[in-house]
Amino acid sequence: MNSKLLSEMRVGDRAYIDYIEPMYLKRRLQDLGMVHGNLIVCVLCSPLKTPIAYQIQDTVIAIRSEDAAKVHIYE
Amino acid sequence: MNKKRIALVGNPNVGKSTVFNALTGMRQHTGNWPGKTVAKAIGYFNSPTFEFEIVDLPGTYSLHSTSQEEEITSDYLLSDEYDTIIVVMDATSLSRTLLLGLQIAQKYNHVLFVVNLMDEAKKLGIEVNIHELEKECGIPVLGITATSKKDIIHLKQFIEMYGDKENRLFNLKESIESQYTQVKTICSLCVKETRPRIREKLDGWLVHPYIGPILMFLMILGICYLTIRGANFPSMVLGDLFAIFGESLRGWLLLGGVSSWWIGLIVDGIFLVLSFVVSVMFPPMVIFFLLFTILEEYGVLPRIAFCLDGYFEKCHGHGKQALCMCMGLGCNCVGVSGCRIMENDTDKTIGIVTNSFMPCNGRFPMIITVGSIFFAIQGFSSTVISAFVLSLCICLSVASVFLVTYLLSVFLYNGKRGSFILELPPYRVPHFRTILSHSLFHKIISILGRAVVVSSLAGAVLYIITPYLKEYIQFLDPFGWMIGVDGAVVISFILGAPANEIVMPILLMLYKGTSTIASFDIQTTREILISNGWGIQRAISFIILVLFHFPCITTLLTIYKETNSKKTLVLSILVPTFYGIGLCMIINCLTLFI
Repeated sequence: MNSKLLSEMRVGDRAYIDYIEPMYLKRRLQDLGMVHGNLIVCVLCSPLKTPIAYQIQDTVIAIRSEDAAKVHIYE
Repeated sequence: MNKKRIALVGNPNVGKSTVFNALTGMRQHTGNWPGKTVAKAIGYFNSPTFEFEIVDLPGTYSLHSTSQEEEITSDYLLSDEYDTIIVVMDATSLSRTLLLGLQIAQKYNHVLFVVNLMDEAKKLGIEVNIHELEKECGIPVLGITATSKKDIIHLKQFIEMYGDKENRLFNLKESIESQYTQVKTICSLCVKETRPRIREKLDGWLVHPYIGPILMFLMILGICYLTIRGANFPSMVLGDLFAIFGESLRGWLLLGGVSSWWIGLIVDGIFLVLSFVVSVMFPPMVIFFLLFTILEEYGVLPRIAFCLDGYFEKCHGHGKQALCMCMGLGCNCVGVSGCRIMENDTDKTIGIVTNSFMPCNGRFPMIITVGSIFFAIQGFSSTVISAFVLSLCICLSVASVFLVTYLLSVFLYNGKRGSFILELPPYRVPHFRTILSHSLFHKIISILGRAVVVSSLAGAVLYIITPYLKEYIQFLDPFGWMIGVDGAVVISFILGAPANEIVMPILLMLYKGTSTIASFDIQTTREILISNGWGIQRAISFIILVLFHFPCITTLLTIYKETNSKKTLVLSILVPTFYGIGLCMIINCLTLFI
């Protein structure tokens, strides 16, 4: 199992959510489906490399890379 | 007749407002971006036995509120003021939208599930088994396509049949992880995907580092061009019709024995200003809103916010501000109310203060007129030039918003920033009917109605005070020269505070020395302006003042209503005004040196 951060994903990469470090967005991201074991796909990168859009639970959401660095994933 | 109250809840952008409009025949704002419904809306429909009152609540991801609009929803659900809750879900992403439904079904016992967007799911090769879902959740479920009339009839029957029935509370686990496991189990039983999903190609282009901005500029240019091009002819026709009607009005009043002062007030004051505002403003507004709504329904707005958020982050701003700026291009009041989608108060205040930096529709005609007169280039049609000037103005506005956002957040708010999560909805080909109903009737009628009221009042006031204005113009001349214009321009902006549309006519009236405003063709306008000392430099200064000055009175009222803060109100007046004056002074100094 290869452990990484969400912010390290490149467009097209697929991974599974491991856990989210405590932060102000944690609850919100969990509501959107970022919970352990859910598949996440990096789908779009904006011109300045932040925010980045991910597909999770059939929805595309964009978060800033700073926040994505708090989300741990595994492949 | 028995009254029943129904609450409509669901995730953002699942089509709650569309369902609401279809049920009640009302015209709530719909569009393809999350967070349009910023306050609860109430509508009614009747069935043979009941009178239903429907409350459309802002979208929410869960019952734990983190933003203002989510708070409205959770507060309302706690209030117990309803008989039935309808949870609207998205068939194309049931795995996410079902969670909220289950959380609600865990707590309340009069719940119905409505799975919307069944047609879109079908197109994507997704099959949702409604019966299975009903069995698994223990809640009555109906699958619909909210734009289909037949489905809405089914929905009404469904509400009538099941609205009263009590359901057993759903047994939902404690932790969010296990809640999602439950959702996944249910979805694996009810949802079948027959083919893998394809993401749209356009996304790749629109968010490309170099092609994206160019594409967006071309999009703005295209909209400006079509707006100007399409509006020319109807504006002319409307102007002529109003002129004819005005003369008949004068005739009737004369016959009726009305005194000449009153005739002047009514015909040369109120009617003239009103007809000018309507004929100049109405055609471009219709075309602009139509084009804008197509883009909005298609789902372009959140993509713009996505692309620009990186820049906003650098300025300590919020990407969703871009959505409000887009709305501000239509009308600053709409843009200001749109700022509610930002959770953080600082972001919201900055969004509101900077919103009037975006030129609203009412300011387009001034930029177009001055642009086509002073920036004419041989070999290009004036429409192309005007569209180009207008697009450049919008770019200048965007750049200024970035600058001011940075300054405000650094100096006033210590660079604190809020959270950023943005949902990018799938592109949806807009329905012709939704566009027409929502764009033409809802927005336009309300904005035009307001403009008519404001401009008739302004017309009356202008007619009365114009004879006394001369001294004030002379008094303001030195200040005007300092910023590269003259006293007449300054006074036009001040008198134009009720509505930006009347700034230009007031200015021409002051130059002509008449006591009534008049609409002139482009040739006469050019002669009037040039004979009053206008050149390229003054035209640029004027356009800058058009872009950056205090918001119109209606926008100010909206700002006060939204924030209830005098500080924000004062900031929204001072910041754009001083920015505009400062920029004009710099340009004036530069021209002196050159």
